[in-house]
Amino acid sequence: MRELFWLIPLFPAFGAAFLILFGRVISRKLVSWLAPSLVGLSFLFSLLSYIQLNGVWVKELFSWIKVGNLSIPFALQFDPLSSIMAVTVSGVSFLIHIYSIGYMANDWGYNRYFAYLNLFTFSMLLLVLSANLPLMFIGWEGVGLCSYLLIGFWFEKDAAADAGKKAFIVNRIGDFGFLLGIFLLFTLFGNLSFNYINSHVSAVSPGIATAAALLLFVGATGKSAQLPLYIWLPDAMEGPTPVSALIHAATMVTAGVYMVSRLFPLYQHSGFALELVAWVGIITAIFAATIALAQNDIKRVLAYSTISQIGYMFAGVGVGAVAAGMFHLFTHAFFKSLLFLCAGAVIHGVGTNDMRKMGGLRKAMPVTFWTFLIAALTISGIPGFSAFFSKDEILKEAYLSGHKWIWAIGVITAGLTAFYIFRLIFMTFYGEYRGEGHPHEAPKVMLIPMSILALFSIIGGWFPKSFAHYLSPLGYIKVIEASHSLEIYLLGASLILAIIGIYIAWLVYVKRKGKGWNFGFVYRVIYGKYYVDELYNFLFVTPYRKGSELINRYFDKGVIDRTVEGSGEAALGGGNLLSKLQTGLLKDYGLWMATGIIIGLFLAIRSLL
Amino acid sequence: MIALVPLLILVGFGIIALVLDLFLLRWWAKLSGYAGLIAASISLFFLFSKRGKFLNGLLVFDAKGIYASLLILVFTFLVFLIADGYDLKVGIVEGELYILFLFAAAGAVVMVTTSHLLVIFVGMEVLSVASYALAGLRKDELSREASVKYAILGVFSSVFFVFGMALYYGETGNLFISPEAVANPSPLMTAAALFLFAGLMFKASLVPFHIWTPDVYQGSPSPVAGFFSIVTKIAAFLAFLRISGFLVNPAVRWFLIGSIILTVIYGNFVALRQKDIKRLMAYSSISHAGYMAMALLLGEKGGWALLFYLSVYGFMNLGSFSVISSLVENNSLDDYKGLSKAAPSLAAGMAFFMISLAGFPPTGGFLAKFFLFSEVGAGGYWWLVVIAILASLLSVYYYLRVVVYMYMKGRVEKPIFAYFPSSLLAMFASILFILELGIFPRTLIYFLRIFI
Repeated sequence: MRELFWLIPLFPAFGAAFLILFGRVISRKLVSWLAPSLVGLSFLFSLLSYIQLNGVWVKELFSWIKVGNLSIPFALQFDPLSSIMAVTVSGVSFLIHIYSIGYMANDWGYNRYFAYLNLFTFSMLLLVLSANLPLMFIGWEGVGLCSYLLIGFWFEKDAAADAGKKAFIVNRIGDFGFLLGIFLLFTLFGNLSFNYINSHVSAVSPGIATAAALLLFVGATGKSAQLPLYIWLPDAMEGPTPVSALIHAATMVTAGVYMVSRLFPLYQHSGFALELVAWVGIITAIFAATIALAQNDIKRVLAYSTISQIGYMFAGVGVGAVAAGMFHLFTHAFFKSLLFLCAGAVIHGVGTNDMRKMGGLRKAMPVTFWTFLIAALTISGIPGFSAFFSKDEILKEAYLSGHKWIWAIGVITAGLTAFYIFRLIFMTFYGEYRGEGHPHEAPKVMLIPMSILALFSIIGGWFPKSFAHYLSPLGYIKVIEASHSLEIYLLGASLILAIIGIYIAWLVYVKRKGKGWNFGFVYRVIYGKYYVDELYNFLFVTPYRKGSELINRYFDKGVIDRTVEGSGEAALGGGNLLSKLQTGLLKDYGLWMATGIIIGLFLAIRSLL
Repeated sequence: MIALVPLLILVGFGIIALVLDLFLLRWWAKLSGYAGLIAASISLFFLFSKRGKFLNGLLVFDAKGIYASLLILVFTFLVFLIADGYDLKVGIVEGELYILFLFAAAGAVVMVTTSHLLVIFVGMEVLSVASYALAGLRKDELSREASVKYAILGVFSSVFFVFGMALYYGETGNLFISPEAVANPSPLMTAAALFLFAGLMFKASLVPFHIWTPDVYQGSPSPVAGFFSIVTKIAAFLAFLRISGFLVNPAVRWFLIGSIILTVIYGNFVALRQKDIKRLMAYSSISHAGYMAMALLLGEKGGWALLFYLSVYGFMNLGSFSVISSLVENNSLDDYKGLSKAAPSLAAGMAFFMISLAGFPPTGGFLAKFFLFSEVGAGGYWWLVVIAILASLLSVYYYLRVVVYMYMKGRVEKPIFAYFPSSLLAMFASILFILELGIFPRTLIYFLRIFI
């Protein structure tokens, strides 16, 4: 596989090109076979490469850009870190392609949808397999584009089109920082391959390393929906649900975590940048978890939950536990895409996103209920399920590295997480059905991927050796052993809080049927998502719009337009004037030539004097 | 003797054509013209390995002379293709069109392969006399006017050149261009240089000797105007390059620089207001002459950029003239309205040539300007380059105006045009070469930089 792993991203690239070119003329049936099987091939190749992997494989396909002393090869890299990402991305993407066959069956844009989905898979695989920053940036922008296209997939709906635009603009802010970071790294190192940067970080001062690391991290907060650039992700739920599962839960939004892990030595060298990553992560985690407590839209709860869980990953990487962060990324990909797929099945069955119009679906949708329950238990961190291991790993590492506050906030967040996810379960599947129509179970083509993901949500954490062990060939991952008694205390704390969360959710939403508990002001603030969108509107959007209008009216129309039009008119006038010299009379023409030679002779005589 | 082979071929086939035409074998006469061009081009390839001076130094077949001769033959061939079909449509029934082209090309080849002033003059006169006749081939008022104007002003400029030769002879005692002689800044040599320059500036259409250009282009048959716009320029600029040693003299240098500045400004400004496509092309050719003349300031060092520019410019200009000829002398811009609907391939071709003339990548027009300007800038004339670039910005307006007329302005009646197969062939060949030179210029540049 060592010589062939570069084919992994090319299968979906071929699929995307084929579907974009011929999508209008080929049948849905062909698309339903072609698109998933190409991604399946990617998955197969990733898996085989993963099994055979030893050390770090780099494959340079061709010299891509060569200008002056800038030389960027089109090089892909398969190592422990990117192999995990490649397997996760292609695997989850494969399952979601299959699920989409059922979910999108009646959509008029079926072929277009799969073209985008293939394009996304290609971009994401390029992002994770690239061996240098510019190539990663191509993938980074590519997934951003696909995200925009898929959020706005139902563009005839205003909300979807607006959400797509919002995601795009917010991501641009982040990408700007990312690009500046790449420029800075180029001036510092003169080489943009990850291996080169990681092995030469000690050559630059920590201060300048901090600047570069923070610029890149701005990009990560945009793509991975962290404070303060998280606001696009909840709106992104306007896209089709499988898209939310794939792009806005399992893969794309974790790109920031992957990037920080990839350049971990740079962050470590800076010190401050790493600390900031941890704090941004954990504060985002608790912040988003509190918002999730009060949302009524089933997908929005999951969206805030995603933001919160990615916060955990950043916290993990930030406290120095790259392996723990990547481990959580790995398990999260399964249980969070499962949560979304279940939510999709529920929405498919009842025809609404609003949990207040659901309830009692346990009987009508048994498979969905059980898989949903497995995912909920996983995210709550119940022992035995995969996220129990990965979340525990993060919290343990935070505690051991001396970040006690981060540990404490993380434990509280675990309690909140358990509450909001079981609130969702209880509101949806318990009690009386509060909507209209007849809820029905999803088709098999949707249930099978859900069941497979449910299986992985359980066993995804059962690794014989620690993740750190597997990642250690990278050279910058350390394996820490903790005493067992301490580990049990740490475990106990988060487990107890999780159980309390579930119990309160049961108390409020099953026993009291959601009545009689009113937190008043606090509830309104949380329900209003802390009014961050309103704040941004007030601080940035409105002044920007007003300013643009003013500039348009006075500067653009008054100064620029007048200058441009004026110079154009002046040029035309000049042309008019000069063309009067062309009289058409032969004697005038003779005069011109005589004048020319006389001026020449005058010059000659002057040079003699 | 071997150096005379290409010339003998050209003239020989010309005379054969003349005889054939006499017996009204028009088609055979034309064929003889094509054959002459092909045979002469092939002979140039054989000459390339025998580069050097011939006939006591009267003929100089060096790399740039041979390359320029080849350009002349290739572009004359394109002009043949453009004229083929057009000629009958506008009532030029005699075969003399092709015969005159052959003789004119022979004169141009003589001009580019010598460093002897008298031989330059002989070549120039052969080219000119044939040109005067060519300009008047269409039997109408405008064409006749063009012919007469061109002839009278042309003779005027020849007089300048001859006078320059006389002064040069008075100083040096012979007419060979030698580096020591031209570097001599004596008053007599300065005057000689000015008069010689004036003669060539007329051929190259540099201000203030450009004045004939718009009238002659407008009046001449379209393929002939195309011929003037490139073959005459190649001959003039190559002769210029041979006497560029004069430019070490500040008076001569400033004379040329002043003319360049006036040329790029005048050409571009006046082109803005043209309503007639051939007048527009005339002013455009004046501007391009201004850009190319900047390369002369570098002397031999600018030779490769100049030749690259001429190669690309020939294809762009003749491509445009292939479309202009297809509209059979309906030359107002209004005649181009709605062409995109009526003749999409012609309109697309024209749009492509306009974009290339305006200098957009990935066309050859961009690279030609880029190489020329950067070479001149590197030679220390940055400020001149800035003026040229600012002036050339204006050109975008008038080139794209043609595109606007073709694509964005409709009209009720159908545009008048004809598809001439050979003219279309010339158009597609030009597009191909422009793209080739714009995207893969490496081979040609390698050749030019090695040999020139």
